[in-house]
Amino acid sequence: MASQIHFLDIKGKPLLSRDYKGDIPSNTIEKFPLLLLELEDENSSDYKPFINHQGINYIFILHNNLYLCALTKKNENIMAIIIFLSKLIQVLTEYFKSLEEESIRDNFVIIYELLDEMMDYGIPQTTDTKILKEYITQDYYKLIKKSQDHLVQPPNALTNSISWRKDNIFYKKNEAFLDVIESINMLINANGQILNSEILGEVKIKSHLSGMPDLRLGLNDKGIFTSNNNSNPTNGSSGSEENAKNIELEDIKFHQCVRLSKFENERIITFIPPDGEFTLMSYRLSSTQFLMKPLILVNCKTKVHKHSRIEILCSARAQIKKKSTATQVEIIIPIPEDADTPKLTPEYGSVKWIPEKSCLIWTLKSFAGGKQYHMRAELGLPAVVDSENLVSKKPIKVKFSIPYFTTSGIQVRYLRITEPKLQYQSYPWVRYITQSGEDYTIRMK
Amino acid sequence: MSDGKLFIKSKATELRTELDQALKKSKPHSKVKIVLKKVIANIILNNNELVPLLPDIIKLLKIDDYEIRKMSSQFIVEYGPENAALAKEAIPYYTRFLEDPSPLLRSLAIKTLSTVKNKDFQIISFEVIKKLLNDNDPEVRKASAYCVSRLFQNDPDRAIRDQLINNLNELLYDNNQIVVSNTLAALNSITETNKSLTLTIDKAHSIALISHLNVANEWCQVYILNSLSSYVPQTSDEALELIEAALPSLQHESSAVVLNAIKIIVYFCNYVKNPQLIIPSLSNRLGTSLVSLLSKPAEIQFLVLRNVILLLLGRRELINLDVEMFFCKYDDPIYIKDTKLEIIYLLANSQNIHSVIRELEEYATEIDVSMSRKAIRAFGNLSVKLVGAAQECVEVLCDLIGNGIPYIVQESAIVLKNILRKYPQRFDFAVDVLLNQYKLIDEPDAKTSLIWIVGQYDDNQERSIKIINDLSSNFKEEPLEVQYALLTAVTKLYLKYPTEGESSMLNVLKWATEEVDNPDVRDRAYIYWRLLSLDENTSGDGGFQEKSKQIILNSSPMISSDNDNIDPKILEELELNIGTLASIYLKPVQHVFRLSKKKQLVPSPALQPRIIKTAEPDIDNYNENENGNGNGNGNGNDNEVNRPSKPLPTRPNTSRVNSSSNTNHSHLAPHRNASSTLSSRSSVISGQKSLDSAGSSFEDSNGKREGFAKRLSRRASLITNRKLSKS
Repeated sequence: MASQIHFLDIKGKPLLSRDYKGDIPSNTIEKFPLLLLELEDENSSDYKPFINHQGINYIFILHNNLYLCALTKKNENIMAIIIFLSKLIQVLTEYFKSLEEESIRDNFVIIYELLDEMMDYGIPQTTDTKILKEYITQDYYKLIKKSQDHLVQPPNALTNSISWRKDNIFYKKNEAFLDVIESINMLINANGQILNSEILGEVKIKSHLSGMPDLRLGLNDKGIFTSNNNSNPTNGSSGSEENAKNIELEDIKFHQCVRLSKFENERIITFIPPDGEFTLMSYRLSSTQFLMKPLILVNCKTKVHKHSRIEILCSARAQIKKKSTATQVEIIIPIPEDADTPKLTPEYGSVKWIPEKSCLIWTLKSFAGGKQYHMRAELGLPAVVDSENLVSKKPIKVKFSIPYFTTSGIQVRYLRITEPKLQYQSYPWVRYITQSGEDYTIRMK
Repeated sequence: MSDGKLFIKSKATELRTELDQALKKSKPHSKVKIVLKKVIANIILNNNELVPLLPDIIKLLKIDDYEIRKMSSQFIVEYGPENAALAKEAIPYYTRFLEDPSPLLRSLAIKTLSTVKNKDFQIISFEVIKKLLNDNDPEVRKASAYCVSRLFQNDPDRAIRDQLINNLNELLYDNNQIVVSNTLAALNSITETNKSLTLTIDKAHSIALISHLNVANEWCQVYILNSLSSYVPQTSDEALELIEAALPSLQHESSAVVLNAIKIIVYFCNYVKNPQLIIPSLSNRLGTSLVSLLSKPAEIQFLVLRNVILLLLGRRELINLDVEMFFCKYDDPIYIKDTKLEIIYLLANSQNIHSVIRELEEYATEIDVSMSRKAIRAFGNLSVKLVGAAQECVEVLCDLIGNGIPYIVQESAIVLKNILRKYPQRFDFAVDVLLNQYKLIDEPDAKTSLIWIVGQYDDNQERSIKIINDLSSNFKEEPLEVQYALLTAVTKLYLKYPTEGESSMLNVLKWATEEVDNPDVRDRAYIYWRLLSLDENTSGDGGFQEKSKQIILNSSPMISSDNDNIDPKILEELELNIGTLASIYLKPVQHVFRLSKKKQLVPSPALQPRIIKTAEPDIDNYNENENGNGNGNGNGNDNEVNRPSKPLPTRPNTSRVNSSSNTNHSHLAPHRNASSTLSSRSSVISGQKSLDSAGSSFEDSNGKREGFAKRLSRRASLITNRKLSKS
């Protein structure tokens, strides 16, 4: 698939390379810095993470101060390649905590070796850190010294039918922790109307279970998981039941351990979990049924007095149930780049001026449902101003998290754990949280 | 422990002494490894001076330690080809490893042997590979499968002669699913490069493969799904069965699996009539699984978006998407915003047009100039595409122009030209709004459009003449296209307002013929001059300049947004390549990858004919709309919605409409040589271009051309330097 994989620094200079096929000259990558320059030189709008130059395709991802680039000559399955590159980043990050230019130098031997195991003939093999760690460790030779046995076996998991879990895991106390996390992305226009919104949900599991346990997860899924039946949505914190369209929770993605065909036919989630932490499932809901109004509504008025100052009047309202409380609320309000000497008067919470990012951050540690607070700010503007750029259209961003609450109303009914051989007692724990996603934004006028 | 300090360039002699010292110890392992790490560092640094170390490294293979052997093998792979004679010494070690009880060592040996391209390495590989393909350890069988593709790459003839492909085929029935899926991947890489080999699998096998999907890891799933496209279903029921079997994979967490599942489902849909009616949830599921991939990093999003475009062009009925999901986020990189804009354009229909227009308006007032321009362009395209939307689009455009921000006005001018051409007379108020802001316009493209609009549509005599006078005052310094546009516009004005327009016409023609160096401009000016001074025109029978008016003041041919649908054949091939590089370039596969094999749907009794959605002539829609008092939301519009159309080109329609502003003189191009001897090479080429682009207008005036040409060539020699009689 990929003929070569390269790690390059931010200028495109190669740091570490691996050739898998030998069908592309090894000096080809030296053109990469030039191509990058060309991309940046021309309109920034021409920048794309894919270059085709003289019959060679450069497929690359930028991560911190590193480029990861794959080369191929053929019309390859690019989705697989790009996913491989991002998995590679993930694996290396799990190995060295963070992946940057410096970490390549410090760990070149192990990276070289990992590249060898993760791809054969340019075709991805395994990208599961837990399995790779079993036989590629930093202190590899120590391991071998201990056991004088020269007969090194590949980990059974590599060719086992259950490739994500090794045999003979043992815990004294068998526990499983479930986190149900819903992230809300919302785009709200200046009048407080919702333009689009979605709930990105995740069920994360931390499994401390012995042996080969078989798990079955029960959710309050009547209606949630069946999109084309005529069932109606079961609950929904603020939803209107009349909505003819069913909830589109068809959009569930499962960890590879879940038996997909069983889910397809019987709507039952069964799986043998990998050891440790993993994301069991993720789902996406277009949240029109659940969120009629923004959870945190921010209204911001700015008044610009040219050449002297800008006034900002901002109000925030928590439109959640009275019993719930939003915590760690941050409202990030963009201000003109050259504004200075802030006078900040929040009714509640604290406001910080961050000049490097040209914004104000209004922090409310806890924000009870139904409450509304105001904040007034005044900043000075320089006398000489380019009038056109005074108010950029940068949106307001809001960050928050609401514990013990899911917007969709999804609930874990049970988590049944059975290990046929060991038959131990086990304890499942569940926690719910709703939080802001990457894009909870409110446009400014 | 950090290896950073080992990452240094070393000399062969230094490393050799270090190695010798290490080997003197009773337990040399750890010291040797440190030296080997330095060796690896030098491989990475591309240090070619290490070749002489080959014998020393080969000797290390003796040490009974997997890691040392592995690192040494990496050295041999890298430097073996540089010196075949030295590398040869390693072969006995590897043949011994092949018999070793450790499967890791066996796979290391065959991998190394097949990777080094030296002749003796290859010969040995061919001899032993068959045995290893039947090894009792799955890991070794898997590694051997890839070794076959490696051997095939190096020596395809021998690989075929030795029937290695058959051996791989047998491996497809292996009892270990990981071996099976990797063999599929290996076979796939072989068949892709070789024209004579194709992968075919039968029904029983494809069902068997699908059953593996459940237990396979994500990569194996990708290979299995991909290989399913090698099966040609013979009945619709079979295809349906396979679609249903692939559906669960849409729920996999790995985007690669999801996109490949979509690819395979779309492929099988070719063999079912109306699959979206048989599996009602199909289009929803495909749509939502595509949308859910949009929460991934930008690179992945981009890929998904490009494939969404591809599917929208050819397989609209299979995916159900909400346009709102493609609204741009503030932080999206430009290339994502661009692609989303294309999708918004493609998804716009009479139901969602209102929110689309509001959204585009938001982008148009954005601080980023290029985004704003693209949004305005989208307005232009939408109003040409959706008759019902035109009114609202034009109103928004007028608002935007009214704000008087230069780049917005300029872009709007370009866009308005298309709209006015599609709906002549309907939006005269927009002409007024634009012309009020004409002073802000200084880019050539926008100027050309403005001049054309003035010449063609402005009915306000005083204003037109003032604007044209203003704009032509700098005639000699203007770029070529503006000069052309001005020539045409002054002539039009003269024909419309003989007395008031005369002086500016005379000025411009004079500058063009006497002071401009470019032969094309000069020629064009002469043509107009001669045309206006024709005997038939001046002699008085018939109205004023009757003949010239016929030629110059004709109405331009209709434009529509669907002129250039992608050829269904190309779409078909692109659909078979979902998720590959071709899908992001959205170009015919052979254009980008000359050597790649052509993919097409294999016929079978179940293959459904591709519905070629022909675009009804736009003119009908338009007329219906005109006569039906603007019931733009009626049937005419729905047809538009279902019609595949070209993805928003970066500067859509301008080339077409540029040709329209050239329309009135392009038919003169072929006669240039008759009247001018100065035509240079470059002008011939540019003349050719305008000829091509104005093909349609050429046909329009075909009838008139004949007689005109004759007269012209007759008079050409006489009037080369003659002034207009009137002057």
